[in-house]
Amino acid sequence: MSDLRPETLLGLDNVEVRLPIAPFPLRILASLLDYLIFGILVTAIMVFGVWGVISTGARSPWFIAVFILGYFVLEYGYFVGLEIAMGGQTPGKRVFGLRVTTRLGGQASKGAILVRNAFRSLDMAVGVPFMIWHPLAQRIGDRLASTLVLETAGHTKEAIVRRVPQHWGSKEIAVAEEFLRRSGSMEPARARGLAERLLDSIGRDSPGFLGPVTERDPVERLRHELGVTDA
Amino acid sequence: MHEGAQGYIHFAKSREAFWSSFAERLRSARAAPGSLTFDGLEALAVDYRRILQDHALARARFPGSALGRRLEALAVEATHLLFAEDPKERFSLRRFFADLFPAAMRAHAPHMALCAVLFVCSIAMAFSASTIQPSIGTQILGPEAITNLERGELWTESISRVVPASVSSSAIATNNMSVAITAWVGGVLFGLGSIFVVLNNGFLLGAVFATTTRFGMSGDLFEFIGAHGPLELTLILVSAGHGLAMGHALLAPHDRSRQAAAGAAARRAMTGLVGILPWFLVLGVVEGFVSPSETVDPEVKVALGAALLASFLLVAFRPIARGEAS
Repeated sequence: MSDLRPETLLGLDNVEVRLPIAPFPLRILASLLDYLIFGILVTAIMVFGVWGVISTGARSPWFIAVFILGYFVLEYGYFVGLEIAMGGQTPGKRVFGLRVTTRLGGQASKGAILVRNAFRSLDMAVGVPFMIWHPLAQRIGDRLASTLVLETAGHTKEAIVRRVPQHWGSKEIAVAEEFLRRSGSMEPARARGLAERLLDSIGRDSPGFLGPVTERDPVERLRHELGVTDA
Repeated sequence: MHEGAQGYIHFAKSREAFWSSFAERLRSARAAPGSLTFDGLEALAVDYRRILQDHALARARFPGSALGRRLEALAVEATHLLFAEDPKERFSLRRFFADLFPAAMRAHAPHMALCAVLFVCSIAMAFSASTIQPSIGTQILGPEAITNLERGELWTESISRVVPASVSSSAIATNNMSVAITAWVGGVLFGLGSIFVVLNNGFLLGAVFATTTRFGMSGDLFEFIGAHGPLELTLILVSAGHGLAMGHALLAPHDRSRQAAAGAAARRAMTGLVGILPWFLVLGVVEGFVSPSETVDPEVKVALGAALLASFLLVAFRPIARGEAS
């Protein structure tokens, strides 16, 4: 029996599933986007308060009272309310493909979301080192609420080969697929060079596998020759 | 053709339609969870098992392949859709205030009692120290408030003349809630944050009372805080008590892991915190409108304060079923 890694859960029939733990830089970026939206909302209610005071000739203090309460509700309710309403996501998390789940990858309860966000102020001060050092990137709030932040599926496309040379085994398939998956984010010249080397290797070891050259770009040609589909 | 490669291509070809259909049904179920029928859910659950089996096969025979990653991503997505934490936790306002909140209050009552003892000790210490050394009270209240006291006027009166009641009401409510949340969150620092909030508030109150007593105005201060003070201080102690319970769980987890013990205490403490927050809104209105009012008799203010405290205690410590208490 293999030793389970912290991010691995045992599914039905004891099938191991590795949970895609969100890296902390992505979480920080998502937080920054959320705080930007939060800032816009605060500005909006501040403008509303100032407009109210000016339009009533400073006679109605209720606009200031509404601003104070509104700010408090936003400060403590933005993350909690949105994570509950959006199934463990906030606008920032959605943009960066993140989601709050239970320790076992399921939907976090409202209580858990409340607990993890109650410690947000403390985590703002000390949460980042906790995220860096913890194997599951849990900040204090996550640890106490038993929640994880995972990357959502569909954020990266997989390139699956449908046609391979005769001499290839699972290792060669894995290498080609990994290269094609990452080729989009590689420096174009480097990606082209690697694709050419792969094509040369295929042409040398499996003469007749490669068809006539119809694609100028070696990466596109490799995709075409291996019958790659994105999923 | 190599067996591994042949198997891979065959595996992908023979199962692709099923995987695509499963992915599509997952997407639809996530987009409109309400449209998922019982049969649809059952089919998803059965197919989830097949996805896990395909994933296990892909991981064992084709490690590092795109198919393996795709199936793992499908398995993670389906796990999130199909598994939720205890459905009993679905929120019901009636159940919350009838069972969960009183259960949390009872569970952490000893910690609240300890906070109350610390609070009283801190008041007594600050009162004695400020009586012996009046500069302590002067430092806390500031020279302007002392000038007001010398004129026979509480500093609260000048504030209430300048700041409209609606503004002070919302500011007081949000400030008190922030203090309560700080006392609660501070519990995770092994209880030290909660204890600090309790001692600090006790010290301030003791010093302020000593100073007003020196100027013969403690009666006026009692009258001012009569309506809101009892409940306000109780709520601060309650939130600190919940925080202290978290710190206690961290320090002494018994047979559980520190994280598991603190997590369980945090969830119960969160129930306690959520239960007290609405009371701060009521208190904000009382402190903003009633407490500074000269048209409301002192007896009425004290009666209101007692009624508020009694109402809270009745709600917080109402009898509950044995199962909930445990």
